Amino acid sequence: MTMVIQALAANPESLCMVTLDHVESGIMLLDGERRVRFWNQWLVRYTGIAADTACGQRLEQLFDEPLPAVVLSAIGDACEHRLSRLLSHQLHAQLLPLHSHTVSGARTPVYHSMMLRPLDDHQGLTLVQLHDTTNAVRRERHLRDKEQALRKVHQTLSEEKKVYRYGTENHQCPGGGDRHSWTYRQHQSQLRAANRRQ
Amino acid sequence: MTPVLTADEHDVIVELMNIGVGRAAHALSQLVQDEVLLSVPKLQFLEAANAREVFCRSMPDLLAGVMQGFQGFMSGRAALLFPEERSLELVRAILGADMSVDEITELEQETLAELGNILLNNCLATLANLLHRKIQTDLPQAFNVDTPHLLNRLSLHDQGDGSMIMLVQIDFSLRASDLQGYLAFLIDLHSADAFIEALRQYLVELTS
Repeated sequence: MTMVIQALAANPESLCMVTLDHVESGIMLLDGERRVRFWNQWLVRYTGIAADTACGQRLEQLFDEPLPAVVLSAIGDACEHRLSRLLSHQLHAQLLPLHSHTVSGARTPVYHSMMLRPLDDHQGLTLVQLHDTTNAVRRERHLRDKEQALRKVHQTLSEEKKVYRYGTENHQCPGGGDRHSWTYRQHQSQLRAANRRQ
Repeated sequence: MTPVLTADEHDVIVELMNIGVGRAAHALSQLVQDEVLLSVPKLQFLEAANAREVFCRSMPDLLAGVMQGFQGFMSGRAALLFPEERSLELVRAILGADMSVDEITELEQETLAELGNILLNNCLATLANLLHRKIQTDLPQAFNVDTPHLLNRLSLHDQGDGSMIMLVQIDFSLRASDLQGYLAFLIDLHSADAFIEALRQYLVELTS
């Protein structure tokens, strides 16, 4: 193992390539003609396309389904016009067809964002990075759903409070009992309903 | 040092920025599914020493923005600022979310960065294309900053005699959503001489 490290250290370029190959993000290099020059293991895992197959091909030739126009436009901007581009998940729900496999073998989409950056003085190469945002997307969805549920409960309770105030001035509480226990029962019932909807 | 520009040179910069902004408006319209109308830019040159005072006077205490470096016939940093609460209406229209500057989440930061990337790339690339020059842009970075520290955050310093800060303000409105606000671009040029030279050559070509 030490000999392997020494051999790699003696050749910094190989060491860089090995490192990039094992980074836990999608890394690819495109040339000025938009052809793939490097394709790391993360991409192999989530696209199912081997590095040997990918290299030399244009990105749009690699997938069975057509790529979104925004991806092709960003590649053109970066490879031909030397403009860096960022494509976020929230504005583009699907960029590349990336999938992971659950234990049961089911395919689930890998949500991601894409960054394209032309490299200086490197024969017109463009670095493309893909970041897995799946966990962030799920977390934010969950938080937004909870927030909306709480808003609804809050709104319902505020409305009931108004009705109750009006009611106590004119009528008795429904089901009898004092006004505090009636409000508490309504509150619990709303919370249970919100939890069932989750 | 603030460059001395003739009225014609000043008008040409406004016109070039206007074309760039027009292209950005088209790209934004597609994102918000509504027609984005952007006003003719207002252009102002600032000296680094006075810039902090101008920003503090004309902008709120807390700012959201996106910055991006560029190199080529001119180099520096460009920033898109959302200088007031209403400016974020454009972001809300795109994201469909209700939020304030300090509530922007991780994913929304990224979306904000993409929005800035579209606007800044269009303006910078249009400037370069029309002046027949080449430019390369870096990846955008979204940021939140208190206004007095804006210059430090952007590393916009007086880089010597060749540096200038160009402040471009643009009003925007969305036709169907009845939203409006304004955006500000800051372009810090470390190579103002090259930019002005390209501008003068463009003017000569226009008139010859």
